[in-house]
Amino acid sequence: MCPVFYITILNPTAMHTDARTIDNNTLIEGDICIIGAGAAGISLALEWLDSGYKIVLLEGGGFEYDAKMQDLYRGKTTGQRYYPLESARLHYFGGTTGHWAGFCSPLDPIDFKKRDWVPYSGWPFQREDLDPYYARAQKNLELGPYEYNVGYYQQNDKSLISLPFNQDAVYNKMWQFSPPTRFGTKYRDAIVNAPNIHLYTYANVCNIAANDNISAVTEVTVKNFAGKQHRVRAKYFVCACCAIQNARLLLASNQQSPKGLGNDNDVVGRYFMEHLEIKSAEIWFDEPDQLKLYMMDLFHTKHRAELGISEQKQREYKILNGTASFTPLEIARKQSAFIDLWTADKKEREKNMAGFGKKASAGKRSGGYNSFQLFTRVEQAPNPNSRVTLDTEKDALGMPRGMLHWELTQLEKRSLRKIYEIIGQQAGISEKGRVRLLEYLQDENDDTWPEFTGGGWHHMGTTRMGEDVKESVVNADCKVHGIDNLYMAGSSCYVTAGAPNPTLTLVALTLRLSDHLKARVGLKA
Amino acid sequence: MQRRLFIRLSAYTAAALTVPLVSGCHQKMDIASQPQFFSHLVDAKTIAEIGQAYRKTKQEEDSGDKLRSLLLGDSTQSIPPDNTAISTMLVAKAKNDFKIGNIAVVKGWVLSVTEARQCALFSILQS
Repeated sequence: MCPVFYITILNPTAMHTDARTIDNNTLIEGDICIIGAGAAGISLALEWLDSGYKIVLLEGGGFEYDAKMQDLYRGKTTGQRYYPLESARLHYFGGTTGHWAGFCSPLDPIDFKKRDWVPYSGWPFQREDLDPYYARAQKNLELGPYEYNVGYYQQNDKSLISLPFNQDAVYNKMWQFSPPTRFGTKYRDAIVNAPNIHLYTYANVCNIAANDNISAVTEVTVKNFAGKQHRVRAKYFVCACCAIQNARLLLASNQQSPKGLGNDNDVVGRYFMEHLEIKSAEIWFDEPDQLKLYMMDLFHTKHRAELGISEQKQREYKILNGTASFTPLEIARKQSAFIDLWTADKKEREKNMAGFGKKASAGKRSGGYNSFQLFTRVEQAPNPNSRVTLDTEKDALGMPRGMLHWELTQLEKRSLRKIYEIIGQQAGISEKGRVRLLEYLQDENDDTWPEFTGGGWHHMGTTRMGEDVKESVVNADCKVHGIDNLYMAGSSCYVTAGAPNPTLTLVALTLRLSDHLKARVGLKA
Repeated sequence: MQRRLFIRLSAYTAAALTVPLVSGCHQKMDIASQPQFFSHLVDAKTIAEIGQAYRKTKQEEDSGDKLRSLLLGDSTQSIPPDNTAISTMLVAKAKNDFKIGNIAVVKGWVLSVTEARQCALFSILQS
């Protein structure tokens, strides 16, 4: 059954077009053109349902996974070992929510602040400014109430017992888990059936054109494998293609600006950030413990805690923000690192990851465990040398491929070591257990990283936000500096990464952008 | 299994080693070589390895007398009544070390300096 035909029968106003099927050189026009239909693009479009404004939503892929589309994301990586780029993001309607695991937690207040020990830190607004949008974003991601205080969950379930640590040093950082919401299926009907939202699939934006003095975007060019090329005009344009592709698109739009659009100061693509996700230590107890508050059964658990490091301790030791999660040691020792499992080949990758999951659930003991592996998720310090650039090689649609140079600094390694010393100290004070750092953290003069070092598939920071045009690409409203109607949506705007997975924050940031756009057109948010 | 083995071994080692050290107060001090909480988590071999590693980095503490003095402090002047009292005192000292940040990371283990010294003393007694 053809989905488009089906929808058309039910709703003659359905607004979906496969851009391969329309006449070559079609001119598409709307009020707002959203480039990319992932968590950010779809969230933005949903905000404009029945608004009376015509929204053009452009998606490069279709509704299903397509290896040919994924190949457009292929690119070389240098520096710190990284996942194959074509496998780290999904290029179809719904984007990477098609395979995300649903981890959600807001950034901490300290993440937004200027920290003198973290170069280039400091957002142009604070956590409380984003709180109302976080609360709204919870709904998009099918989460519970905007409540991340451990006490809230412990009130409802007395078996969620905290480790007896001083919360002013090591606290319980709560996570909520989305089902996970697959935006491609969850919101497809809402988008396709909306009379004012026109979705074009197989519409890959390959160039953004501006007016003569490059103060406003005039149109974008879309291409597809049917050999068709179309133009899209709108009053406002929003790039929501993910951090690597947002930067790539700006850099590749270099017909009028040789360095790329919005890149007069050579900032586009720089400050690429990932979360380091890596096994780091072990904790040993004298009595077995279930650690129910901290455990997770993927796709079943609704919330859990990780160990967070307090703002006070981060300031005291001048370290980055990071959290530690627990896996029973006997299970963790059987599991390979994600960086070794996550291959370019989809079938092999799925087989590897299924094996990982089986090992995680096999041999679980109800009586608890004496030892656990501590697994870190830590922010990467913003680093201008960690960056996305263009390759000379082009993809099948003629667009230069993106290249990633992922580079870490000494601060990440020092922070990781200190995080576990702080946790170890709390384990000692409480007489709960003792912590052992893994070998790669034991020598404080060693700044190298082991082979199993990996990221969380979290791409952030390539069009970072700020007021200083020499250190940022967009302003506090996510508008590209110097270009009146071009916006970036998503994690590319992050100034710092915090410890949490980025999806909740990028949706919140998108809702904030939507309110800004509504204010610009005179609509009530 | 390994933990129990250590407890047996360490008790035996302490008893055996008190014989040549019987001159005066040392007889009641060998309990000082047993980090009570930590010895429930790891085996004797690990304790000895940690002790050796600590001695390598703290050569100024690399003698039994020095370690005893550091561990027991003034208690060497007025002999504590029994091993239990010494053990209790050392447990409290280790806990206080953690509280004030007097911590040593030895072979990756985040220990109180008191525990690290106990491991060091153990490694000397065992060698």
